[in-house]
Amino acid sequence: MDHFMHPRNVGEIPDADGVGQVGNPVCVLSDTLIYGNSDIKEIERIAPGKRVLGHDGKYHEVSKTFINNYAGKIFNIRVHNLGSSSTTPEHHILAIKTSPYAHKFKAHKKLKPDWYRAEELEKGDMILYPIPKETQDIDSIEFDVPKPKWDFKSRDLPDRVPVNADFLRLAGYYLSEGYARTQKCKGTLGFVFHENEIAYLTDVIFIIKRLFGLEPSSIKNQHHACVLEFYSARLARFFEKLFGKGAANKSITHWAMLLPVEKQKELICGLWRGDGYLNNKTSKFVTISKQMAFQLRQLLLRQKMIFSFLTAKAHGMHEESYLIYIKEDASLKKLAGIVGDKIVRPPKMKSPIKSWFDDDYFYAPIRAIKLTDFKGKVYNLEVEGSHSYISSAMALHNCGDIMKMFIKVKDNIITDVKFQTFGCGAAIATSSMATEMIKGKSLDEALALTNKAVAESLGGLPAVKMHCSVLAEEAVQAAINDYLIKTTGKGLPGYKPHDESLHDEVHGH
Amino acid sequence: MKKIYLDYAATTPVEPKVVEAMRPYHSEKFGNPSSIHSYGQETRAAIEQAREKVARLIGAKPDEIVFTSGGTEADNMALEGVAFANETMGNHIITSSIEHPAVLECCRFLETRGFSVTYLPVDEFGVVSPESVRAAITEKTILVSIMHANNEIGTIQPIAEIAKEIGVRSSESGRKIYFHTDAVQTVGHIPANVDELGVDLLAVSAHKLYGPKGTGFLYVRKGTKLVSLIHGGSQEHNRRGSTENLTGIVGFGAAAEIAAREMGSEIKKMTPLRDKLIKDVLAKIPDTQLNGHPTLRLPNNVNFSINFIEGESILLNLDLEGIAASTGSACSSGTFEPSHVLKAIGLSYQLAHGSIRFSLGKHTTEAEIDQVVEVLDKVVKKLRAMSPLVKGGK
Repeated sequence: MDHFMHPRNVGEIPDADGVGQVGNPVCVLSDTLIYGNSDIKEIERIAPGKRVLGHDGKYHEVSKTFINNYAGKIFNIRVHNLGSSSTTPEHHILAIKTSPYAHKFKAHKKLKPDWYRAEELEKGDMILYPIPKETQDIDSIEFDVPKPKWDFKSRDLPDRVPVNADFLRLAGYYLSEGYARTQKCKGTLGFVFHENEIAYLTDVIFIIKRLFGLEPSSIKNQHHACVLEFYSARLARFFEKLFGKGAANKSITHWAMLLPVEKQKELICGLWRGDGYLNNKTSKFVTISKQMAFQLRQLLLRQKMIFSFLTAKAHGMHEESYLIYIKEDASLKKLAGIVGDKIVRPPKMKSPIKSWFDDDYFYAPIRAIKLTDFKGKVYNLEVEGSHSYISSAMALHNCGDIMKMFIKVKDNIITDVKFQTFGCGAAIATSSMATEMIKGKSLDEALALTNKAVAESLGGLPAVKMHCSVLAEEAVQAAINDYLIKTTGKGLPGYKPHDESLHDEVHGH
Repeated sequence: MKKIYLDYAATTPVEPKVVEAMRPYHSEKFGNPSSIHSYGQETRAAIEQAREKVARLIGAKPDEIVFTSGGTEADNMALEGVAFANETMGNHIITSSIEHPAVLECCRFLETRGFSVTYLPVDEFGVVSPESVRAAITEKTILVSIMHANNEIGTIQPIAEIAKEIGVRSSESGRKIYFHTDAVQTVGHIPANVDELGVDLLAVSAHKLYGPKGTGFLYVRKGTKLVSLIHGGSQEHNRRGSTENLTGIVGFGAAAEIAAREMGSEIKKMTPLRDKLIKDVLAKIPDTQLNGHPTLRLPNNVNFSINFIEGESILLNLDLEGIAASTGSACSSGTFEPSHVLKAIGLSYQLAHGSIRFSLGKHTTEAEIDQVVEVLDKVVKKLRAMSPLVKGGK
């Protein structure tokens, strides 16, 4: 009680030699893709200040980033339709637990979502994936590519361009089939269509005439393709600025991602007419631009269309290509409406509901969970407001640390130690006692400290609270491990940040 | 050290007068109320008297009262009893996402037995909107269960308005939709008249209104179809087998009588104390917020979220200073999950874990409130000094 009432060694050591953070080693692997505003990026490349999508479908600022050394189990969770992410066992994931009601599909929609630890989830449980919510309509944008001084002959282009159905469909065509040459004297905006897509080519010609007053400079047949070109460096630069250039580097400018759902249909229309394919059975979209593929997923989520996302090695020169399939009846019908194709499809056998939408989320089942041993760096973010972020497969919570321990070390002796905790009474008392017990001791002596010894010094702990005493022990080990990494480059041999066997031991008796 | 009890929503001390009323029914008047001899007649009369007293408290007829072992059993009886009795009429039940586990767990159970349940969301104050109830009603709906007031955040629901919506839908379709309310936190504390509320079923517990533990009742409006869950006797009009909890029921009657008499003056006394506690804490302790509705709340309920620190450690620190309260944060057997109510009103993980509930009672004084504010401030400062979540370390 005394250690709880009057905890010793509370606080921070700003110039600590080792810092141990435990409680929630909630982290993901370095290559986990995170949705930010305007792009999707590996978590290791995200810095504080960046805005990322939260589980509420809105963008929030990252206040802190964390890198931890981790050795232990990693859960790779593969989600139907979306993809997979790898997390540490205790990372909280937004889901509903349907496995207890495996054959009651109708009951699933009534279950309450919650944050579950990765290790609690099972195959069949439903992941909640947020529909991007932020909407901002724009009527027109400035044509912000000035005329060069020496340019006397090029045609006048409008000062503003309306953001209407025409423009958005054209943007879709450019993103999928267009190219921009912006070198001096060769400025060209071009489109390549298959010979049986002449209707789309005509659409482009009329849109550009309506929006910019330009006529095509050339229309050529090459093999089975038709190449349409407009000689205008300014127009080419304008499109490059908004949507990138080169098939692998194109992406949708951020404001277009925020347009009202109804308007975005035109963008999808242009994109799908270019890079997509649609028939009575299925529909497929292929691109080699990673950004665009992940952006299109967001557009489809906003339309509440169920898709399947795949990454595949494409033959030829490109590294990877991204495939989006739409097979579900209602979604396929919606897509046909958007693209302007009539498809007549015989109703399929009714299969059990696999994925569905509500107002805020897309629900998709977990297909498989793989457990692997991992040793290396793992990452986490602290996000203001939503306290969550979105990977390519799920919404992840960013629970903060429950315990931090700071140590000062001189000649292998712990000269000072302090702790901070967001924890219950037992966590406070055990950390206070643990700091007292290791102060002035050698690193080896400190490492030999067990949670049992800490609990005994406190006069015992109730069984349900024993796990809190493990926190203190883990914090000491984490701090020493951090110190060793900082000084020798090598951590504790065989160090595991979160040792499950410890738990068995303490709960066993 | 003088101890301060501010957990009246968990349970209340039994009134001395109630204890007195119960005393003869232990070994002096002990007959089985079902026996027809004089021993039995005597205790039968006592039970019927108690029944009249509790019925009067909620404006019901005595034969509409079914005594149970407590609020949880009453809720179970209402939900499962109505669901199984009306299976042929439909299989849809509507409830809210902030109900007491006695209702929520019952619904989860019914889901495994072929019923489908809609869990209505609540707004940031924890209020269920009558429109959302109306919208959720389908042609298969047989029962709606919405609590009168929430036990954690004290929000009082618009039960009468909800009843009106249900009535409209019920008469449109010509099918009866039953309406149950868990009134464990309200009966005896604020007016709860079954006709004014427009409910068909209402669950009450004795130990929340200065009566004994282990006793409750379910109000069942005449004509409500209900199957019995406990078989083995014709007690309670064949609705619940088992020899009556004689002392408990007598105590319940006595407590109900006192509550009916004192309710008005208690509300007048408690509301300003509640508002003072809210005002003083919010003024004195930064980064603190009130959970639940500012005005539509029980006169005895105060629930704060205190940012950056964990509820259980606040609770333990207060306990060591002699103050008893309650928290929505549970840290036991490895789970660290905050309350479903606090999550339903949209609190973040951190704020939900930093919740603390004070519930006032008839013995609470203004001096106690002052003491609590002072101690809480001290405790919060101490815990924040050791929190890794406080910006800048302090």
